[in-house]
Amino acid sequence: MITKRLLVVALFLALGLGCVFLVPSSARLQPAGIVLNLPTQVGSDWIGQDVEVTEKERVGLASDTGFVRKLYTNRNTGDQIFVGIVLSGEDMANSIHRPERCLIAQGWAVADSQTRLVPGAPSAAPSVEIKRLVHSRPVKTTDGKPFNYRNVTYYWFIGSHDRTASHWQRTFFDIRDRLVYGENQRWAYVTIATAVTEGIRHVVKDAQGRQIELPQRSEEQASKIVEEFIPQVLPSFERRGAGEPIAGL
Amino acid sequence: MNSSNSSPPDALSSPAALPPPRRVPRTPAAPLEPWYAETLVWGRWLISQPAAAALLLAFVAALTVFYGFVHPFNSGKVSAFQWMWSAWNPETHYEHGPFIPCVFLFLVWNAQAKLRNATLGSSKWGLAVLGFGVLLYLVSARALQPRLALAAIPFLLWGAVLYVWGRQAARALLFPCAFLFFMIPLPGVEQATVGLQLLATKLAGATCNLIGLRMVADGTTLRAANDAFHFEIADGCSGINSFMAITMLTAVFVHMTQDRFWKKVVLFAASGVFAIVGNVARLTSIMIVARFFGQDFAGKQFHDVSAYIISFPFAFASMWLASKVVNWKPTAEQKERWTRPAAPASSPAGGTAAAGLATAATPATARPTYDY
Repeated sequence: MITKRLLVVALFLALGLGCVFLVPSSARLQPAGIVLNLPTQVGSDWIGQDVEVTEKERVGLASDTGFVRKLYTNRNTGDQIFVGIVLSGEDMANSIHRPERCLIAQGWAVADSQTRLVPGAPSAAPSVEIKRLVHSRPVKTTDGKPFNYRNVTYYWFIGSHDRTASHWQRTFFDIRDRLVYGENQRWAYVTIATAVTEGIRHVVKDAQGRQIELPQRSEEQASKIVEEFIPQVLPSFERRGAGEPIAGL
Repeated sequence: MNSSNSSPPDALSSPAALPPPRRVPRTPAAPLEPWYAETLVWGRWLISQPAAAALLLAFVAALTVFYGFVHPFNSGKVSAFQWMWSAWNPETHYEHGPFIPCVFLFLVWNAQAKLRNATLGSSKWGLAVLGFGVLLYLVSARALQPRLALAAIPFLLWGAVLYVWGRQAARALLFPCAFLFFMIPLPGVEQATVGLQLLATKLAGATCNLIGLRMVADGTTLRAANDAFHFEIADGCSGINSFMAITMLTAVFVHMTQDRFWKKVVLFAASGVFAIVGNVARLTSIMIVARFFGQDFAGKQFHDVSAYIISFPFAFASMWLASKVVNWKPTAEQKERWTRPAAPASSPAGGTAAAGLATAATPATARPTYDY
């Protein structure tokens, strides 16, 4: 009897797992939900300059991954905001990933992580759900003293017809789309970051090579500046397919 | 030769009168069972049932082929086992991954006695569980999620046991199969290190201050109040590695030592506490060593061995202590003392003693007497 049951189990397993050869291996790739382009000017105050993508990043990700980055400077206050977009290619496993992974790999420690609703663009959704990270790393000032240097980063993912700030939800969307619709969404990972300059003199070089000192901003002030910037920059790259709002809004 | 002062000879004292020694037949000592005796029994069974042995081998071979040599992931380049092996790395805090199959085999070997005494049977539910495992594998291939393929393995193994050998055998192997879920690297582990880093830093700082070593905890930095030394509690020091390992070890510990299900659940749920205790003890010891022997030595040589000489022993000690607490039972004497009725109040002035009791008119401060 045991031999007979073992035969049933072995056949069941071989035939069942063998169905993997009948499973389609590819899926239709949906168009991106963004335009891979950032404007030179946002609103009336923010002027952007291109930021180079390092060779290490290009080699580390799939070859058809798209990048665009700009550093925006407010010509009135001197504040600076970094905006970066990474657009995944066909190889979803090696295109984009959560910033928590790459931040830690770069030596940052994530001190706080929360999901926030920030105002969307007036012509688009009323609000956008975004993940806000506060991360820090120890640096030495010019006089050798240790200092905990902090940044505030906002990020979220924009797909062909979904938007989310959660990695788990993005994974769920991918599983759903492949199983139910047989398609892949082409995800864009948008990150907007600024430094918390409170307690330190942060001197940077502008586009002309001149040294400028960034204004003192606390964590709350830095967050407010970014949250006011987001609805201004969003319409410049977020695509609205045939006038339909993106799902989830 | 007889002496005039000696006692008269008797049958017992004369050597010639002593009965000859009796030979007591020695019963041969029962041979000690070697530790591999149970395994030999299974080996003999397999040899006596070549068809069953071949089919078992076919089952294992099918699993190996589909998990090791079929490449449904990463654009058709990677099999489930290849993905799993690459995911077991320091970045994901899963360096302990290769030990999991070894522990699984040990748990199966440990369950041999239960398996030998199990009543053979069969349950069609085994096919349903097996079918669920197959479905998970197929879904993982379509959705490109290798974690789902790994999650299917416990169902495939346990479903097969349930169908082929029945409920009692499946019950004996339930924990070993469930233990295989630890193989799956969880994606959010990196974020968990943040909370652990902050918590470990705060607790270590508080412990140092408690023992008189003045420290300041600032985010994930621990520095001496007089700035003599400071340490950045990196994600590697957050304790996440030991957290995963201690959670696994706690699971094995409760399985092998606890008799009731609620005790297993309580102790397993507390595994995070054991890991934190171990890590806080380790960080505190590093600060103490830094105070007396310098930051360099504390941060390098001592740090490298501290997990083994401080972290794990403290974690195991707290695990053992928690086990003692959940297994504590009052002794018979304690029970009797707690359930003993209250001593009678002192008798009124001039009162007579009750029948059978020797009492006295005692003042309020005197100790009560009891009927023995």
